[in-house]
Amino acid sequence: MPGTIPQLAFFETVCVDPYATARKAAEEGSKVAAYMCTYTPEELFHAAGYFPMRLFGRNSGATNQADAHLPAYACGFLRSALDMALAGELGFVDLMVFGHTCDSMQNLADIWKHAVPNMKQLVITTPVVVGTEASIAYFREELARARARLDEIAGPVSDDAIVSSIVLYDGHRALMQRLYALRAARPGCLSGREMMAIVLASMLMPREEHALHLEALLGALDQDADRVVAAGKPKVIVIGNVVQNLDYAAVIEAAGCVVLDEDLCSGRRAFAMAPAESEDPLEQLARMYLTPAACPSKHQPGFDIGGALLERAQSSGAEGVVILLTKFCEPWCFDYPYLKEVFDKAGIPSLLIEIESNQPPSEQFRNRIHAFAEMLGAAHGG
Amino acid sequence: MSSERIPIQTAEKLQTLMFQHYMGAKMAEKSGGKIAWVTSGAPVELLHASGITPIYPENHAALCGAQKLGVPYCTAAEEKGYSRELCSYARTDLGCIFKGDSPVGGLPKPNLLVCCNNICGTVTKWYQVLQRHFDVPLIYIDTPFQHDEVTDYAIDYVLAQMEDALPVIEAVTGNPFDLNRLDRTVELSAQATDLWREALDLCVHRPSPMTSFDAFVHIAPIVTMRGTPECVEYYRAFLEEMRQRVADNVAATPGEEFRLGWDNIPIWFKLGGLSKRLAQHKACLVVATYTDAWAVDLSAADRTDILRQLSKVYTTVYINCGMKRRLQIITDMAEKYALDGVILHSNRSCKAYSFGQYDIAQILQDRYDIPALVLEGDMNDSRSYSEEQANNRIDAFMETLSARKH
Amino acid sequence: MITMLHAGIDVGSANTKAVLVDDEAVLKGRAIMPSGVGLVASARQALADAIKEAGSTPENVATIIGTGYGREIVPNKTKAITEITCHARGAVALFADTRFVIDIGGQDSKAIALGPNGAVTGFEMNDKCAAGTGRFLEVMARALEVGLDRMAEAALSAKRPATISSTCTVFAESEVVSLLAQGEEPAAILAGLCQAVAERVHGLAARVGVRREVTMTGGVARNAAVVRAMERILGFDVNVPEDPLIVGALGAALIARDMRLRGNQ
Repeated sequence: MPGTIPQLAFFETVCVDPYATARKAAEEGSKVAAYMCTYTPEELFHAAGYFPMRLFGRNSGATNQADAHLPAYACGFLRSALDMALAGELGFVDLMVFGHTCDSMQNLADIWKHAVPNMKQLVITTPVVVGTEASIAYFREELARARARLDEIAGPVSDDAIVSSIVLYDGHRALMQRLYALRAARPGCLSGREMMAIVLASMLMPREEHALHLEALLGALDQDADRVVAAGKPKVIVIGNVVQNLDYAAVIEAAGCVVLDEDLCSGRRAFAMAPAESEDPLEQLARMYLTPAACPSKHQPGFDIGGALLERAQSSGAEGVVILLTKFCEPWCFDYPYLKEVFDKAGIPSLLIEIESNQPPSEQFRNRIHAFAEMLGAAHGG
Repeated sequence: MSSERIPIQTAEKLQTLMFQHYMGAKMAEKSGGKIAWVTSGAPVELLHASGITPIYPENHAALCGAQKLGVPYCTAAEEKGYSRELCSYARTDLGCIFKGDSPVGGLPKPNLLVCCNNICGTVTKWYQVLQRHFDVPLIYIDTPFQHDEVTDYAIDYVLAQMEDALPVIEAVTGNPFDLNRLDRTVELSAQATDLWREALDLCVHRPSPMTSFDAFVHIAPIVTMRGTPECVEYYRAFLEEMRQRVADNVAATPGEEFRLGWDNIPIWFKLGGLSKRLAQHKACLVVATYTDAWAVDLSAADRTDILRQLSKVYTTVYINCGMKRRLQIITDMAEKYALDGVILHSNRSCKAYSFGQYDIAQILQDRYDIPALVLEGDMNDSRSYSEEQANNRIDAFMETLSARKH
Repeated sequence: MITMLHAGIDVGSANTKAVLVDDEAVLKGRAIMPSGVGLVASARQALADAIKEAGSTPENVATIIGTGYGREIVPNKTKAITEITCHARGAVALFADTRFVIDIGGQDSKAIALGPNGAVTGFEMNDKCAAGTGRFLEVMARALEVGLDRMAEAALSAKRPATISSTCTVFAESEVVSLLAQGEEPAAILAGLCQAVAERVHGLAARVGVRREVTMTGGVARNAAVVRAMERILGFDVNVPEDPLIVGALGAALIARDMRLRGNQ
């Protein structure tokens, strides 16, 4: 049996009741800013005195109130978040921040404004183009507009405050990169479920606190150099958009798969911002956030998402790729046939499952994962 | 007044014109001319001004849909792994590529792709697929969504991208980009869009000389050929005929009693059926946000900085604006055209156009006392449409409108 | 000498199937019964019936593999294996050259690609909607007041299939009513419905990449009209087992046998 690491239990607790931490912080006087898209520069809101928290919606349950505002072909991620607001479950949120993300998110911002009139809202129209000077220049101005609005509603936000928030977040991202590197060097030292809890907790609690726990965890893992909680075969990597219910990782592992790594919007892509240099902190933020391009909702000239994800799979040593896509997610669904082709050509079996991430894993989900594990297992002759 | 529908004469001209458009592109391909595939909201003037022939996959998909051929092409794309939840225009056109045919014998291969996301984010992904498939340059123009007021820096951003597009176009044609020729092209676009707007405006007349179903058909040249003399000539004839119909009191819907507005892309495979259904209720669709979206203002007064003018016009189209502006446009239409009600087509294929319609419908009814019907459908995929349910809803809606009148 | 038996029990949404094979992989007994609400009891009963048919006793059952949605609840099971793997195994046992399985069951349909050694190389399943499943046909048969067993016969008698544009169960039901109101022949409607199911499932199959030979399994494979429609779309004939309902259970029983023999080596 591997030794127990207290931080892991702590992260898991944070995820069990995802918004309890923010709710409690709000009760104690913190101002919570909720956001949904990883292209939201949290640093800006942190600098303005907010506790930035990622809103994922619920992990289960009906969305009757949101159904009155969104047609049947809207994804569960948006639907569930809106339903929480309509059901009065987001009373602890002081400011709702929207990024651009996709057509659905773009229109949700306006629906929200109308349907949830009592909640303060700030929309940042993130550029769709990533990695060009023109888009960075535009984004810088859009962030300046956001900052001016924050000045109005939360008091002046100084350059120095933004710079220190960037330093804090950069430090946390560096720790997360260390954790990802450690996991790559010691496959199976953390289960997929444990890793998912660590990652999600970072989005649900103050970043400075998470960084402390993370350092302690890294120390504990260094101490326990033989820790292996996930061993055997088949080895898989999980890619996709938003998966915020720990049960998904648990089901994949219960089917006998070892989750080596992930490339998820609710995972490593949230820490992909590269440090950038600039005299102007807003330009610095714009540069940092427009570096990563793995999100299919973006356009970066010359970027090959297939090649990038194949490299991720191959470098992890995965024998199979599980692609979890939120149903109705157009950006990902357009890329899927190409991704499958790329994995097929490389001889790595892949399995697409469209999920409703705001519902627990379905019986059919379990079924498909089991069959995929059997298929990969048969390749071992086992 | 006749109780028979008098057909629009220009329709014959339209057929010839569209045939020439697609055949012309094929000829251009054969004779070594340059072809660009473009999104419907792209600044096509840049291409006409460079002698590049633009082809519109969206219009081509709608053409397949109107001939009720959407489903087999969609299926071909689905078999390649494209989800059934994806835009049916994209699935139709990708299906045509995979099957290697279409009602016009397939589209000529592009030398260039031009994608502008002012109509949706779908085209971003669709054109990425096309770029991988054809391996030709892609000009991508990101027009930030305008939730509230239009910001200057957003226009600067679009302008910067337009300027970056010029060398790409020059590389395709091998000729320097000619700004004077662009000026003449935009003038032609402006003339055509003005004529189009004038024709649409005639629908304020009672009875309306055409229905939006007619406009859905006659919109093709303004989408695919604006910036050409042929387009101007066509709408001159079209406007003339509409004026004559007004003078003669010709009713597009004989016995017109109700006047309705339409929001979203048409249900192409049901144009005839829906038109008949509404006509039975003596209801005429007199205005649509879809046809109105191409009646943009390219007036010469703003043409001092032509690329900036184009940047602004293309960034502020109906569907690139937030709910506040959409609502404003619809309520303005309701007043101008004396609407009895509005039908909002909840188009499964188009989240950008459809999300928010429930709220718009609610506001129209509660705040403006304008009856609104949300009609579930799809522009090209008949499998997502229930004729029985749709007819039922339309009948019920018309009963309520009738009760309000009598 | 007592013959040892190996059991495969397939607990599906509609029916529970049990199959027994011996060490030589010869089918010794089979049983089918409605799954009902007591899945455990159904699994027990199906096994008991199969043992009875085999003329054997429970002590002689050496290995049990559970499959289907209720695979985890099968009593005394040695292992639970998904029906994807089991259908593949069963289909290859019945038709050795099978490289592709199309399984249309009560609540889901599957397309399974096999390698030359019979191993699963890829698969797809329908999404949560009932289009392209036995359930769809069941609802439609009820709307048309035709027994499920007579559906295929009636559909095959139609001169041409009516066009069913919607495969959504709810939409299609109202479409059927409207076609009837327009005076369309029930037989033509039935043929249209069978065609629609075949088209929908073929879309699934195409995504995996159909290769010959194709074996159809599951309850809907008993519907000759769906099978004919599928053959028309594919452009070649497919294999249909004598009893397509038990292919999953058969595969499970054969896997049980393999495990036992390997364990005894």
